[in-house]
Amino acid sequence: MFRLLIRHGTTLFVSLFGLTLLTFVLSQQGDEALHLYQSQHFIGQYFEYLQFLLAGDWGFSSIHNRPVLYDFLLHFPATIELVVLALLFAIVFGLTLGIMAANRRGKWLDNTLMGVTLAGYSMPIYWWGMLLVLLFSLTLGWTPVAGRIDYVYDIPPVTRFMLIDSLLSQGQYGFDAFFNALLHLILPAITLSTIPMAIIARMTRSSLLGVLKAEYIRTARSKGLSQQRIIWIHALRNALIPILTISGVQVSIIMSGVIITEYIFAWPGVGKWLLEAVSRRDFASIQAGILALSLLVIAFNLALDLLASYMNPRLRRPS
Amino acid sequence: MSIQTPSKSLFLALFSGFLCWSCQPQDDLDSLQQDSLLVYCSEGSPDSFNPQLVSSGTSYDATAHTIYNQLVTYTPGTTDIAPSLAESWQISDDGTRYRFKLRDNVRFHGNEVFTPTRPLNADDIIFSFNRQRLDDHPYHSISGGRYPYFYSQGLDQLILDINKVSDSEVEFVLSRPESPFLAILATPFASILSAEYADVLQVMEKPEWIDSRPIGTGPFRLKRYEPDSHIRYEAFAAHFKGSPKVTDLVYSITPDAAMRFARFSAGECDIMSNPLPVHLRIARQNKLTILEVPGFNVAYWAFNVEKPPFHDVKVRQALSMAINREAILKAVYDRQAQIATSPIPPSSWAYNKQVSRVRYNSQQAKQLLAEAGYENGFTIDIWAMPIQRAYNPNARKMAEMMQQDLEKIGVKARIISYEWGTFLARVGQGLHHSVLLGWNADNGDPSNFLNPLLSCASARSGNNYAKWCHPEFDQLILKASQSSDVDKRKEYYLQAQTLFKQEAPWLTIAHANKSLLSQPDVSGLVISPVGNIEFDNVTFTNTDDKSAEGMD
Amino acid sequence: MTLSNSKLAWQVFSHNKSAMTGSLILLIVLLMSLIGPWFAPHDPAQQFSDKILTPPLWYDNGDFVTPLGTDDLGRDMLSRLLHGARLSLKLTLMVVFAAAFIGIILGAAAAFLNSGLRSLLMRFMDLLLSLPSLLLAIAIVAMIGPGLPNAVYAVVIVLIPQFVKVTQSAISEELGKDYVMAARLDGAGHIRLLLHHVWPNIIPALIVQLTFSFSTALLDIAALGFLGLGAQPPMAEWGTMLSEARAFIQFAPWTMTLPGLAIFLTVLSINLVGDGLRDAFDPRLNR
Repeated sequence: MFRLLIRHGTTLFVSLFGLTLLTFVLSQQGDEALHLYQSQHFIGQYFEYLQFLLAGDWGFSSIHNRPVLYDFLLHFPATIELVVLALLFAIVFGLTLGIMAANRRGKWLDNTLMGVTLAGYSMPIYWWGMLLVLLFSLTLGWTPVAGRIDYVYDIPPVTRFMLIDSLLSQGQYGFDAFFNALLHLILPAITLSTIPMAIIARMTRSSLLGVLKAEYIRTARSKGLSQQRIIWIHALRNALIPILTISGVQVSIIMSGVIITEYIFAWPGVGKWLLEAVSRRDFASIQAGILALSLLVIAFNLALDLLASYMNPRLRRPS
Repeated sequence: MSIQTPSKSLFLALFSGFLCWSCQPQDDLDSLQQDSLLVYCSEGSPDSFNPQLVSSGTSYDATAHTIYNQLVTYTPGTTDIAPSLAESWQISDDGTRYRFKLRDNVRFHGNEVFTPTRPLNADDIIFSFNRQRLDDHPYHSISGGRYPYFYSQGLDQLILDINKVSDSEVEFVLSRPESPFLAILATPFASILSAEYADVLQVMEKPEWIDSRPIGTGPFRLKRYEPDSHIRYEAFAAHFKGSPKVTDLVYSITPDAAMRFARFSAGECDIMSNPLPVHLRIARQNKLTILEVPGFNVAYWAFNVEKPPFHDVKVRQALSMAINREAILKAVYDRQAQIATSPIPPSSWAYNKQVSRVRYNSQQAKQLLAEAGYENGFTIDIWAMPIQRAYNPNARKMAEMMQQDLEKIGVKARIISYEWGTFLARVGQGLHHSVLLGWNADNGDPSNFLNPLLSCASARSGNNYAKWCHPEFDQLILKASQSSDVDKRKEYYLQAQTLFKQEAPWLTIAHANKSLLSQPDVSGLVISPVGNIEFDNVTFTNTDDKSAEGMD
Repeated sequence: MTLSNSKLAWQVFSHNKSAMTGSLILLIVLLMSLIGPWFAPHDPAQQFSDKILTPPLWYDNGDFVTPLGTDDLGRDMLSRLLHGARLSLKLTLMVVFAAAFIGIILGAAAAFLNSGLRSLLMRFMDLLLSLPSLLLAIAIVAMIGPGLPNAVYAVVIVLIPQFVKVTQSAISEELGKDYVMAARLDGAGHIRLLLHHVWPNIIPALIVQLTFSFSTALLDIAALGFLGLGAQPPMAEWGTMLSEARAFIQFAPWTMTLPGLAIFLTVLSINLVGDGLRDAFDPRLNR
């Protein structure tokens, strides 16, 4: 356990060092310095930069005339809302499709599902999102084109999570505002979840098939347990571990995707904010956005590693 | 604004059936469809809620005629001056003293920290101008302390003093007669702020709130601003002209024209700003309402005369001749514009009909370049404004077309673009060879085109991006704006335009029509010739057949 | 990889229907990019101002002169797509080979480094890998400025870590095997060991990695073009074409569907081939 902690510790240390070095270099690109540094040389300034970061001073955007951390926090809830819903979609539908395919291995359904998931996996989501808008919003008129909620609903920003804020003003609008917010989330979430969903479905299928070959499943089968029972009770639990370990990659994919999705749907989140900062060469915002998003991914990966090694004792052994 | 479509109710019904039993029945949602919520899909975030501090049309649209009023205004649809906060006025015989009588009982808005105790009086007028005018005014340096319009129009020189005659009377003393002065007072920078609010904020030590939590006398009160997302206003019932017809007004900030049009066609906004020509074409095919006025604007290609080879007038003329503006008009404007022969649009009284149009002629252009000693051509950059405006719906496309035209005469062009703020800043520093820009006049006077864009003062610090300072031309436009004799003024402007044509600091490209798209049930929308959009008289006429709005 | 091994792999691969379909599509796309531009009916930048937004043939008012329609400047879509194919594939190939070259060298070096340095290098690669690829690319583009060459550098950097990891782990695995021990005892040096003994055995893993990098590179280059950070108009690059088409998707859907379809089909075929190759090289993973 101790060696495990050391390993995670060094990984974390190297990650944080590399990351802050990158964002420090980024922060030096602008016309004006991000902070007032005492030191003259690079290394000294870097350490001062770290101190500023720790003190919560992430810089000041001269374009927005606000601290960048404020802007980040302003846009962050919208992104989280989208990412969480997309992850939910990806996990629920990915697992379901994977199990369905494994259940009908080699059959028509399996082949179709694998074809579909490969297509999903190869999808340029910037194109996919536009196709969805064209079909569902512009042609059928089922879903809104953009925005987080209809303007009929005047929702005061409390948490800045629209789903929560709309529930908070439930007294005024009932649940209508909440459903309206949900309706606005659907197309972006589908767009964003497509690739991870495909990956999870494929992983689930192959991992399930692997587990189903195992000794103990054969024993279970010989005991006369039904296929459904075997899959749901015995196989899935073991098949989940490899799926869990690739979730880190999923989060990374989703974070890339969310930038594109927010751009397509004019979703007022961190991704759109970051892209605007790039086109405005607002380096204070760029470094803060990249740092914050990366920290999030790193933290998530670390948590996942720890969880995986907790769930799977074999991983705890030093390799 | 209707959000009700069959599929949405289906969705809602499904979900409410699924998740909750106590939801309100569908009919209640219909009662929520306040037909008095007006959604306007605008093209950008305002830079500030104080129009004095900014120079972008987007910021003016979000402030000057919603939150604020000015002393005078235009009669809707014309460039005639009409009373607003000032009920009447007198001009002294020598044209240097303007005395305004203020309207009684004009109310200011209130907000969480401020409840006005008195109606508008002379102090508010004096505060609003002195803040911009006087360096030692306590509010002068708040929020950056830059007043681009005030200074680029030379108003610091023009206005000598502002006197309080009585609570309801105020007098402006000018250093010289200035015939466009009333027209200038109708522009956004002349919006009237509350002096009482300023005092309250000073006590609270939050003076910068005057610009971010604005208080004005206008028809709409700012309720909420979500940066990069939307601005929400509510009707100001105590407005001196009476409450606006709609109760809520939302500016949905949608900078991407493609997205804006998609939202409009899906019925998510009632009015859409700055449609692309391609959108107008679709709108016409689908019988949507297009509001269109011949614009008081100009799109131009300015040559930075400080940068070789543009110091040479022959090069400027040659390049002007090399551009096929007919093709640009068709591809970029979809014919919603006319070719500009002068910076001033033909609808102005000062327009010079005698000035001939530059003809497109690559051969001759090449010859001219050779005469200037550039037979082998050269490489330039064209800075294309990154955003779309009515006067230039797509500078990028325009630049691409010009790139092709220029190649024919051996000139290579690189297209350069930055985010709008950065772009303006860098062009202001003169880092460009040439730039595609435009101008939307904010008052109907010809001086509003020539002075801010081509005077020597604006070449030093301002909007003269050709950096072109021609003493004779400068004299002419100066004399023109000081004279109160219309015939004389006209004569000066005709001469100035001839001179401009000879010197060719710009290729004038087009005067675009200003257009808006609106849903069929919107009525009472007014665009003034100078491009202000006014929402106070907008109402919804009930069209039952909402579903017909959408397009395939 | 011995001869019999590669024969076996080919046998598996050629019996894999989806992999063969993918190869076929990929071959067509490659052919298009090689000879397509000569067959393109028009110059991709030429603007027919009287044919703005002409729809493709299968619409009522389609036109044989521009079989796949025109865009909003009246440029022929077919010609642009064909030239786009060359540009996109050329860029993708460049990016992947550059990344592979650097990545393999780094990975090989890492395999022979002492454990402290190796773990430092590999942890750094882990960091780059764990960061969202587009975020990293945006960081790089922000630093060196938007535009096609810079976007290309960014994607190269994004792809390197995977090659480092694959190479390093493949080599490390081989180094532990008996035959390497034997060669070492014979007195073979690092380089000799690498080139003559280890290298042939890690090629399959690298080929699979190479294939998947193609699809990532193609998607990322187009994504940067789409976001306005990569290729700039009027370049006929698929992602840039997509982004230009956004202004009128419901009015001229072909300007959006066609370049997107081109990207999608190419990526799909590469992935099909990649899956097939992985199955062929590694029978253990065979489904």
